[in-house]
Amino acid sequence: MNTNSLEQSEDDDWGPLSSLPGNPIMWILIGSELAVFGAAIIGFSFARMGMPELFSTSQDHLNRMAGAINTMVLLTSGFCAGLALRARLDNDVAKTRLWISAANVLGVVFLAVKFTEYAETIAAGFSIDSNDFFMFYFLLTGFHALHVVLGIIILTIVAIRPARDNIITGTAFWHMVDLIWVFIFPVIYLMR
Amino acid sequence: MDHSRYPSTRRLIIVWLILMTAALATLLAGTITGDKAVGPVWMAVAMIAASIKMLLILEYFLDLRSAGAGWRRAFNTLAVIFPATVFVIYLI
Repeated sequence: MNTNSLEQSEDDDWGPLSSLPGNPIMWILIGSELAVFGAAIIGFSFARMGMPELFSTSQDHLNRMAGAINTMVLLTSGFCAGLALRARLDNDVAKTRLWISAANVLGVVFLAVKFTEYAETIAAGFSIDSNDFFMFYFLLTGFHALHVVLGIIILTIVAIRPARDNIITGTAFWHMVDLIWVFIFPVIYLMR
Repeated sequence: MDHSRYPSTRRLIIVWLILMTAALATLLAGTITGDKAVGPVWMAVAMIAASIKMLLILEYFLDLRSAGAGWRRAFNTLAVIFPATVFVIYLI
């Protein structure tokens, strides 16, 4: 998609969505993802209500520090994405690419910490079939990690083609990934 | 809608520092009791910190400040209602 067609799409009438900043389709995606992950987190909370002991003892096997480090890594990565958009709005393409690359590197760090954590958990004898807690843990964090992978791919593409609207849309996706993790971490790793 | 109100570099740095502080508050709330139950007070701290993080990411990183008043109200309400719901379920 070239810059002209993106500008064209911004000019289209999206009704109430037109008053949102950036690409309206991205906001539909953000709303949908928040609804899906939100429902899963509420589902986890209700499931925990019925088996607090099981959830608490299972949670003790997670590496809370790894989860906390990943929170800071992802928030910093989102900050880099914000700086990339700031640079693009200032028409500094070189800086835009630099900050997008920094966001991507931190995304890879997030995945590395996540897979180390998975390896530890699996080595300790836990899997998605172990109990309801680990089913939620692997599904929620796994689905989120998949979004991180997708986000890295999207950021790489927009770094190669850094049109203003591409950067706005790509960084918005990355912030959505950030938003989801902000709730996954305290609920899955800390609530007991 | 354009991004004419997108935050300056200085403001983005301030937002990031607040986000890091909120992340540390969440960690402190969740680990201060070791393997024991977190308890309602620290769980409330963790949920308030999560709510602050969501509000900051929406308002500044996603530039919701540039959106219409209705959208801002809707997303900001969600950022308060969602963690409050999780907290109420925790208390039950």
